[in-house]
Amino acid sequence: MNKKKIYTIAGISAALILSVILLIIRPTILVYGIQRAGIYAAIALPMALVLGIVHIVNLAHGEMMMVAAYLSYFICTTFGIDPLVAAIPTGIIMFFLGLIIFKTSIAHTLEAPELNQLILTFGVAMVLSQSVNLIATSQPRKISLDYVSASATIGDVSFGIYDFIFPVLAALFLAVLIYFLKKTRLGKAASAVGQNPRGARIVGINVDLTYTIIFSLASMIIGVFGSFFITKFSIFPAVGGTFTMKSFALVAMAGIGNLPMVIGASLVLGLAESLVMSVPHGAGWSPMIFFGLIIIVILSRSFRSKQ
Amino acid sequence: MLELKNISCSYGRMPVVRNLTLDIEEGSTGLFGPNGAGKTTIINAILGLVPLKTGSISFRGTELNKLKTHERVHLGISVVPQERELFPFMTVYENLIVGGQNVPSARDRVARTLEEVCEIFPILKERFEQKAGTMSGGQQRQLAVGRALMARPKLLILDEPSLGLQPSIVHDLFSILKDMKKDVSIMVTEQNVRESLRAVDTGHIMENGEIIITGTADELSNNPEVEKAYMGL
Ligand SMILES: Nc1ncnc2c1ncn2[C@@H]1O[C@H](COP(=O)(O)OP(=O)(O)OP(=O)(O)O)[C@@H](O)[C@H]1O
Ligand SMILES: [Mg+2]
Repeated sequence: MNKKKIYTIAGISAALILSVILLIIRPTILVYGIQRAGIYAAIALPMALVLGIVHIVNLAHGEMMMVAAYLSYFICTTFGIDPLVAAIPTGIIMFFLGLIIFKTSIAHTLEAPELNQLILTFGVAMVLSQSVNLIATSQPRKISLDYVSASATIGDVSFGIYDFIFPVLAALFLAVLIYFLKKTRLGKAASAVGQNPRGARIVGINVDLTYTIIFSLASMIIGVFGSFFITKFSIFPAVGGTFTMKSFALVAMAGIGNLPMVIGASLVLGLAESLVMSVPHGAGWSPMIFFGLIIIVILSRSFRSKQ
Repeated sequence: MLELKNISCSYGRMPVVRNLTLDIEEGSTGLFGPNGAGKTTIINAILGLVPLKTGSISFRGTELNKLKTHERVHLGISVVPQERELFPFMTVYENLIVGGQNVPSARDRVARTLEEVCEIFPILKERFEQKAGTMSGGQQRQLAVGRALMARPKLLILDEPSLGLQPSIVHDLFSILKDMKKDVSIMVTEQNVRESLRAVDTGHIMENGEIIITGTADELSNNPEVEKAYMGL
């Protein structure tokens, strides 16, 4: 058996044992952990597509989610529809917004060193958050919905059940993306472009179009997620920032190009945060988990590559 | 079938191909020359990967200058690049499929073409599930040829296919090319003039970005100048 398999099995069994212990001593930690993980995975998956498959670094990822949430908010308040219905028009609008962002900015950096993309998309992030700040002000906004407070009681524990929509959404995103990459011609072309853009041109792939569609598709997924986000959380222009960082770290943890492991990495982060938050005075420490995990992953990666 | 008319290319300010005119007829053509003569540059210009400073290129009556690389490939030009340019993390099978799926005229016949390619290169069928990046250099070159054939090209261009192949496989490869030229026209660049003259009808010898000698395979092998400069070893 090779080392990689041992690590994977060790990781999975550790997560399983942890889950079982949690389930026995404090079931709510497990429930909230999975719900958090669902949110992280759902927003990290479109980044896994863009960063992991076609190798575009997009630091405006979280800001695009924020824009999508605002779009959804205004669609809902203007037309009086539910955010879960607004997910469809928001997704479509975000597809085209992604297309515009890509064509006007990122497309020009594809041949350049990655640092250019980093700086450029950082600029796009600022433009997006400042524009929203100008148009919608920094006042937080929220949509109140009755159904999000639905709860269930099993034995003597009760917990919110609406949030399970996020793990379901993440699983749906993953299934769609896997199907797209493995079964469709465009999906396979995208993998080819990511691995060797020059080789892709030589076999007759329209490389520029492939990049454009992949980025727009990821934007559409971000758009759908933004609509789900507003059902539960209040939004303000800076709400997206942390999601860029977290998505980035989760994709790196999962291993570039490994989409299913994004779910695994999100579970580790979600469960660990939920565990820390459950101890008294722990809530303030939960952001530390994220940085701790990044350090562990980077250290173990460099340790492994040295061997 | 492929006409290059007065083309010039340069990298920065350094001219690499100078006002070169070349007619590639149906059948098989060789383009010979030492390191740095400009062979790869010409192929990249045909693909549109290197811009033309002057001149024009047309393929079977269609002017290529304004077309993008993939559009040129769709017209029936397939290239086996010197650097192979495979998809390293895809399997051998996936590389071949991608090679056939992205050219509209070859798409419906992928399954049949795959069988034909495997007949020519049995090693590929044995290694279907191996990642392309883990194949040996020679195996990768066979895969690159196989992948190019998956597009069912009208013109197959091979950039130094013998590079890094053992002599017996070079011999086989040129026999295969000789057989194939009934169905598909071939243009091949080589430094190994002797071996490749067996497989081509016409040859062009270039130096410093210019064609200096043109002739049939027989004429070239009997030309004392060619003998001295390229087959002296
Ligand atoms: N990207 C580049 N930038 C600058 N100069 C280049 C570039 N590519 C090629 N050259 C130069 O152009 C000239 C022709 O190169 P080319 O690769 O076409 O030669 P070649 O005939 O294919 O040689 P070989 O037999 O070694 O493959 C060389 O002098 C080379 O140094
Ligand atoms: Mg060359």
